[in-house]
Amino acid sequence: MNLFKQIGQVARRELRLWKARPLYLWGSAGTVALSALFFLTFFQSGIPEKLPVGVVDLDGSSTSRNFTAQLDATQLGKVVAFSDVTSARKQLDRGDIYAFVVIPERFDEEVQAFHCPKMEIYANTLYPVIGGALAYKDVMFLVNLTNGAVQRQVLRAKGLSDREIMGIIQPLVLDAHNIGNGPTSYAYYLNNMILAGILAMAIMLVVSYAIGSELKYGTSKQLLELSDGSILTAVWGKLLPYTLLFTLLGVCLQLLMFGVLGYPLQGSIGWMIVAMFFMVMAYESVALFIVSLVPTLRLGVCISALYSVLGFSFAGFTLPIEALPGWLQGFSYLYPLRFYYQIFVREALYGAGIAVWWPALVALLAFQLLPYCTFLRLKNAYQYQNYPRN
Amino acid sequence: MAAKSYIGQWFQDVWNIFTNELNLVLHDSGVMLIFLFAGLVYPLLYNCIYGHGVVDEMPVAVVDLSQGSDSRRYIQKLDATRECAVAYDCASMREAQALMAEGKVHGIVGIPRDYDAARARGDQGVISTYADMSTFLYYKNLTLATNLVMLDEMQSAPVDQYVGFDHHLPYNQNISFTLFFVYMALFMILQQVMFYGSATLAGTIREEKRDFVTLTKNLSGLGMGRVSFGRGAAYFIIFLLLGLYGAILVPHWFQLPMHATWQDTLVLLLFFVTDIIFFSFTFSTFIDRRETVLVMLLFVTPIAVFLTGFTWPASSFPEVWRLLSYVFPSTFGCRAYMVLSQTGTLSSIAPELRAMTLQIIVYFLLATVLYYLRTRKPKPAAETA
Repeated sequence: MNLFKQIGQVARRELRLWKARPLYLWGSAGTVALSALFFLTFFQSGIPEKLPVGVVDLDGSSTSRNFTAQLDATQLGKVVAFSDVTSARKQLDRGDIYAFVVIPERFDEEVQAFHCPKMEIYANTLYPVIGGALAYKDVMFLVNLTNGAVQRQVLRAKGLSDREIMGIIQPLVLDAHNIGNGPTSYAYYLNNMILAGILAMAIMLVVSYAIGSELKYGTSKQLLELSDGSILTAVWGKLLPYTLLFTLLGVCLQLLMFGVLGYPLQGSIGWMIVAMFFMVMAYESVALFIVSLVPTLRLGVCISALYSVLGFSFAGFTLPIEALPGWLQGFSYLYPLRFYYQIFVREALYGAGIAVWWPALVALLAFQLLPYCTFLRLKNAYQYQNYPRN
Repeated sequence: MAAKSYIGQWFQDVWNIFTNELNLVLHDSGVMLIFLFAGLVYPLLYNCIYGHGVVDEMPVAVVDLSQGSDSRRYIQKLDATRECAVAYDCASMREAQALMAEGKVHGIVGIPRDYDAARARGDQGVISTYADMSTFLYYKNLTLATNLVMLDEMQSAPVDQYVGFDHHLPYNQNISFTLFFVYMALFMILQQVMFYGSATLAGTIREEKRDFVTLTKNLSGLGMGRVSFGRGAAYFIIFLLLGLYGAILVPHWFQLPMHATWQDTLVLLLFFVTDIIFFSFTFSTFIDRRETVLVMLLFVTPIAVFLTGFTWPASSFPEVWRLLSYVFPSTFGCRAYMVLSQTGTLSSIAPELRAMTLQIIVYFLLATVLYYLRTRKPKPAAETA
């Protein structure tokens, strides 16, 4: 009973600190809300549209003009006309246009004479990579369409049926399905994990600030007195409001994406919330561990920042872990975000259930043992304040 | 005489502020940790992480219900691609789906019962593919491999072509989804390290109620320009060195595709480093305490990263975010670095250099004015206290 009372006292003290310094709520709720506002509006429909694609029309016939008009009418492309290859190439190199196509002189005549004129297609697939790859795909699609139209015309003239014609022109068709992200939406792909990563970053920074500032501002002794000399009571009481706040923020993000915005969710929202709760606790533990190790506010916050920025790379969603060099793959185990991502993929994208992803949940739990290795060190630092404050 | 001594005093002040700032930086463990770890280790780390950026032999499951020579040939060719490896031969789609749900395969290729019969009849054969969308790299691998094999299969019965094409992908031919990230990161690191490092220091100084100019007397009004110049010079040296390391040496070690000479890259660095210094001075005016800048503003990093337009194309930015992108030097710097590394000519990045010049002027003036306003305000309060 007494323990709960003390934890309650420490938690209330923490809430008073929140009130006194806006930093705590800004660093948590403020940053997460602004990031959500940015990323959830940034990718718009999730698929880029009307990408600038150049056309160098050296033919100027009705056929080539028709080609240009059709390219302009595709959802992906928006035509920018050039009079010569050099100027188009310059803009391609700068990434002002993402691809361009050259329609050769006497294109129309050559097509009519069955001489198979060649179009030149250029694409900049380095910058911006998504824009370049999509613009390239769009131009290729239209070139193939144009070719197919002539083929069909010729084969029809030979008296073949449409079915036979399709068997000749396109003997093999791929019927592609994208599991977990049907429309290949960039928003579906990135937002779940980017926002989870930003939440993780906020937890690391705010919690290490909260734990460390007791040292810097010399209030740690008073905190220990309030919790009857028990470092566990002090830390539990201190972290209780953060656990609630960050879990609430995480669940709000999940409800916003899976619910309001209709992001794909095959499995249960309940399991996703459980995963979120364990990820929040895991990150709090890491932050606690780091501050206890150093134990100064200055280094604690710095290391938390340096650590959490790399989480985006080591979680595996930008680049699968197996694509990293072997010696780097191990680093991914240091990030709770990696395990949250595993649960997200298995549960949200596939609805595989806990039977498949329980090891990731156990890993998140294991992070919570970390601070127990260093509690004594933190207690001594809180008690004696024998570390430099700055 | 008077003018001469003014100029002499000016240089003396700038020099004092310069050495003072350099001293502060070098004796601050937290700031040095940010500068050295992030400035020296991150460039190496990001090259290691994203430099390769492809997955080879991704495991896929096949469900071959046709079991004919055509379907088997398709599967053999698929297995032979660099992108995919046939890891499981499943009897049913359900079995393959379970493998995918468990993450044992990242793609499924299903060949229906009538595939070989249809091909023999001269009809279209339809193959179903199912891609794991958990990362776009898996999706790319399956799409690329299944399409390459399809095109290869179609070569066996060539049909007359009426419109041909040659394609040129002058940069990044195998469409690595991560190569661009390395270029962007190398410049982004400089900006973020400069901002968080110098803001941390500015916060410390304000927290301790010291001033940047303890060594200089009689500074007021127009003299504030000296503070910006003197402090700026200190960071200029540090970040030019970090820039030479990150944008020239590291890419050389990792053999990143680079068509720019080091002299041209240096010219770009001169603009960019100056820009990030005054950008940081401007926004660190609002920082009052040491540790707060990271807690309050680290979340800006991923936003600035996406605003460079390195992946989601700038032509598809919503208007308000396009305007926000003009605030960051990285929007122009990262792009200029990427373009310069491809084209190798300074003239191709002239628009970015102009934009950065404009930013430098605006941020220099803002930094100086804001600093002036800040140092003026507390004085009456201090006297009354």
